[in-house]
Amino acid sequence: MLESSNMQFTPWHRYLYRVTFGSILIVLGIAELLLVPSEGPLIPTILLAAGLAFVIAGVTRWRRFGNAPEQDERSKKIGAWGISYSWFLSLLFMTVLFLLDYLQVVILTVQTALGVSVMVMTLSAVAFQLYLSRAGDVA
Amino acid sequence: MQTRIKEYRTALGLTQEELAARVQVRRETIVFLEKGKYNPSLRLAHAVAKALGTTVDDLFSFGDEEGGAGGG
Repeated sequence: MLESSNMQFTPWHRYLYRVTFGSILIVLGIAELLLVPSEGPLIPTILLAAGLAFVIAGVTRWRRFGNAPEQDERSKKIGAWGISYSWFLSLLFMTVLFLLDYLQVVILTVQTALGVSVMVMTLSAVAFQLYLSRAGDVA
Repeated sequence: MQTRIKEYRTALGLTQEELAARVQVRRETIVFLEKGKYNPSLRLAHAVAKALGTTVDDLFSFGDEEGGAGGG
């Protein structure tokens, strides 16, 4: 009991937990695929993809950061501002999309509008964060 | 913004990685701090100054200091 309370949570533990959790998801996905084949491939595919994402993220981040902090005040600041800029750009984009549809310049299905919006949100968030990260700061 | 971080760091024989580890930030943050491209929080500025054995006032200077906030 005393020993466990003295244990320190190091970056190594975080990477280990990620890889372990990912491995469990992969095993569950394979087990579901083999043991319950009538359920179809959807759930096993989701489990395998999520598991692989956890394992890959755990290994690559360990190789990149090691015992150094994964995040610090600069990266958190850039992350938050990148998301904010992305949100604003997405709002503008969806307004334009709405007007184009309203004026019947383009005819959009719900699926297309949602798909394009999700893509713009994701890509713009990554692009803004990358740009700010290279610039050094948000100002 | 100009900083004397590099000057103090090299005088102490520290690498950017070592300084980053001492103040618990990424190495990139130290790089941008030294270039004067990152405006740190007061907490980080204090931590860096403490790690380098100096004061915040000595480490950071701003171009508009002549104007002074309390000038008059």
